[in-house]
Amino acid sequence: MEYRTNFLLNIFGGFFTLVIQLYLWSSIFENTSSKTVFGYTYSELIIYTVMAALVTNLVSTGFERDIALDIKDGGLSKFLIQPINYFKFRSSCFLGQKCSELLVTIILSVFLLCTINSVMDLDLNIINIFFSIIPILLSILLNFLFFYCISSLAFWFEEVSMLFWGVNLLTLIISGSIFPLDIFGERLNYALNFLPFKYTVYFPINIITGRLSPSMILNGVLIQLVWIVIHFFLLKALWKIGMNKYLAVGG
Amino acid sequence: MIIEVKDLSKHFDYYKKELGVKSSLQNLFRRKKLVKKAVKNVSFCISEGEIVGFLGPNGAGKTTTLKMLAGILYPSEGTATVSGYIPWERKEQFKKNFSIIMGQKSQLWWDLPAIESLNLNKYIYEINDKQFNLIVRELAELLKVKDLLNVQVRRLSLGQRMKMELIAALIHQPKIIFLDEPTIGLDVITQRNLRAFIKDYNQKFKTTIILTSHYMEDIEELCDRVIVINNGELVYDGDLYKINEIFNNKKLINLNFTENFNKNELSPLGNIRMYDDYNVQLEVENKIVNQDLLSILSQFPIKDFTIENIPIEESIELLYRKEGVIKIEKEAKI
Repeated sequence: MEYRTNFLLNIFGGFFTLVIQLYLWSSIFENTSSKTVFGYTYSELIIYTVMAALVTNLVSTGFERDIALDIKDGGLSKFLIQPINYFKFRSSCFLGQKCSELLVTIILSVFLLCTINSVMDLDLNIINIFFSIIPILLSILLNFLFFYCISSLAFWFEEVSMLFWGVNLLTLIISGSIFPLDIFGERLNYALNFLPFKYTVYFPINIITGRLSPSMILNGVLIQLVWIVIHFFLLKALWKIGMNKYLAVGG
Repeated sequence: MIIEVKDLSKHFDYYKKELGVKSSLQNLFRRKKLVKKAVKNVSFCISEGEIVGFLGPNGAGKTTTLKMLAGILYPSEGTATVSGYIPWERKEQFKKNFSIIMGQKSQLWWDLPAIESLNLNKYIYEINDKQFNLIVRELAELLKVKDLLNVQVRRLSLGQRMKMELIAALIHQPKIIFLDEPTIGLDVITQRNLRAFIKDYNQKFKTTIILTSHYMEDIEELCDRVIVINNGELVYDGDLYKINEIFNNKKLINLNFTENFNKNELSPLGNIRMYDDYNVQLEVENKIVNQDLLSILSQFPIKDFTIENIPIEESIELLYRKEGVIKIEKEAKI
């Protein structure tokens, strides 16, 4: 129940941000004579902003704080003595949470896009949305693995709340949740190609806007898969080393 | 030998911080790293079915040792095998064979009724339904908590909660049980019930039990053998009552007089520990107890007398205070 309220509040808060962003982009477009800003048409930018907000909410995590707390106050111990796999436990909790969030997100997306479509003409192709489903699912997995790795920092640092907050903020920006990464210019964009963040939000959203060709989509999915594998091994290594430092306080 | 421990050690690194803002700022730039040697080269063996007491002052390293045997902590040095497995490898089969109950930490889900936690354990340990129901019913009846199974754990009293923890720990019929201060904070009656239960369970199922406790009654009632740990080192491993023999072979004679007496006349016979108008407690060498008693009875107007051992606590306290290690030959089981 807590999580659902949290999620809905997130959506609500996100809604305000969304409205501000839409107004911002609208005024930018009004003040420019060209048809594109940063290479995006008005329609593409609107779709991007709306869908990015929703998808960001979908791929978001919160469990890293729960894990950090378990590590810090020794709650992890009770999982160590039982024949239960902590990773599987956390992933199951996450999955359960996401399933309900998925439903809400789908409904909201449909609602928002239809509303906006009635106000202005959006170049929305249903096929594109269909193509984005698997990449979005992969994004959720990738983000999960990334933050699971981040949660292992709790083995080394006693206080991680500020660290997590900082990481969260940074990933929000460089994954393209707030605005398309094209704003950052060519060089930074090129650099971001070598990091996983682009492929969590920017990549799937741009499938929906229709800016990516099928071969680019395939390419992107492959890169997502590679990052997922890398994160999986990184996770195992980090946790193995981190466990050695586990203090198991309490009791 | 179901539990074998050899030269087990555990060191913790920590940073020293003094009181005050100034040292907080200093700590940003340069910290003094210290090492706490919680467990130093501890070795012992335990046979199946034994109930062994772990004694030691607070901070001695008892719980740290237990945590290593449970696989929660990795040791810095040394080896241990429990039931043939290395605990910190955390193999699934190993986990299914043991339980640990920590009196200060609950393993039940706080907001759910106890039966839900038990049910969860049923799935975790892969126990079939029939066996599960049988065990739960039997244990709940024995511990008199049958009606409380559906109550939220947070609403249970400490004693009731401990009983639920015990049931949760016994569902999978472990061969080895670690009890870390199980009776802490419990009332006298519940303590006694729990002790009787543990003793019964051990006799019935031959479970190996390691028990840490600060209550002497727990140790005296349940443990034939104690291991005393002080400052991370093992200082005694053997029969509980033989601890007395390390320090001194003395007994206490309590005398009750029919009339006033002169205590100075008693001093040559032994050490006077307590006295009032009609009573005296004498500490006397074991060897001469009988002859002392005979001379007292013939010389003094004695109404009543008893002979007792020096309370275990006193010997243990001496062990706690001693810095050095006493190597005791492991007592052969009679």
